[in-house]
Amino acid sequence: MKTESTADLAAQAIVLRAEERFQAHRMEIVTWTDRFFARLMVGEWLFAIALALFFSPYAWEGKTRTVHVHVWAAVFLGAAICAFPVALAIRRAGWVVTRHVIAAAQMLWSALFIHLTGGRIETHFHVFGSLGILAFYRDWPVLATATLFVAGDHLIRGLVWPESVYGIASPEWWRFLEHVFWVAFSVVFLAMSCRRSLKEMRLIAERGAHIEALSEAEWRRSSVLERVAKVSA
Amino acid sequence: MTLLDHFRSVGPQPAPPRAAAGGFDHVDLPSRGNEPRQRLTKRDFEALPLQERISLLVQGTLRFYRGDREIAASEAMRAAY
Repeated sequence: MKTESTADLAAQAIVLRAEERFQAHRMEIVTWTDRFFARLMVGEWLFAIALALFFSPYAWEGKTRTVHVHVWAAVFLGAAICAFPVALAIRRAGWVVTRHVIAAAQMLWSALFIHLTGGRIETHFHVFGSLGILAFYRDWPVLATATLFVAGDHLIRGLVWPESVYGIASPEWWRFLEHVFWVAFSVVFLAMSCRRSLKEMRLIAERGAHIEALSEAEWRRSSVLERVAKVSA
Repeated sequence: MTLLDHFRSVGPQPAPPRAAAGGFDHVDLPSRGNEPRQRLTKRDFEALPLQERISLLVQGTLRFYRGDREIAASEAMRAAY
């Protein structure tokens, strides 16, 4: 009876360690990804400023030259977009809210890039690239947050400022649905990949537990044999 | 060496040896009370809750088989990876 209960306790400890290994592995991945995005966002900020300076550095009113509003948008709006997620990534890396804020900010970066390039369709690829990078988290709700933000941005800007997002003045009212459909299409498969990755991580932790259990069983067997040998002697 | 030559040189890979391919085929669980030993396939065993699998492994009462041959638990687990 006593042997059985100690075996159960040992099994519980092994299962607990397996869960801890799984959570530690997961935390290492999300923390690394948070910090990766912090660096990426600073890079995107600098790129947005360079983009604005290259495409539309100046505005003209007659012969008066002024800095184009796009340059100020890149500097100040860009700073506003990345300030909060970067601060969270530095101060609260691994926190669940951090990655959702980062997902939202990353979609806002897509929106700003699309605006700065006058709604060029090619710039919309930034959304899909960003979704791929967000999948590094292996956490599908992050992708859902990103989808909501990109859908909201396309809907609102499509209604109030369609040139900014589609590059034309009067797109069909349902144009945003077409964009959201393709985003959702890629998100479904990325989410499947995230779930599969998590399953594999859990499997790795479980296999470690199997090895620990075998080692524990071996130790118990040898301990019993030693005790028997001592009694016999 | 051209790319075509490279692919020709690689050729089809030989199948991995049986032992590396898959640990055990089925496992016998210890009998409980008057019930006979229960036999589970590898898939069924892996579907058991982790707590139960680990308890059984720690107790050391499982019997692993590859085909009709009984194999050590360590071999069954090692080859499964």
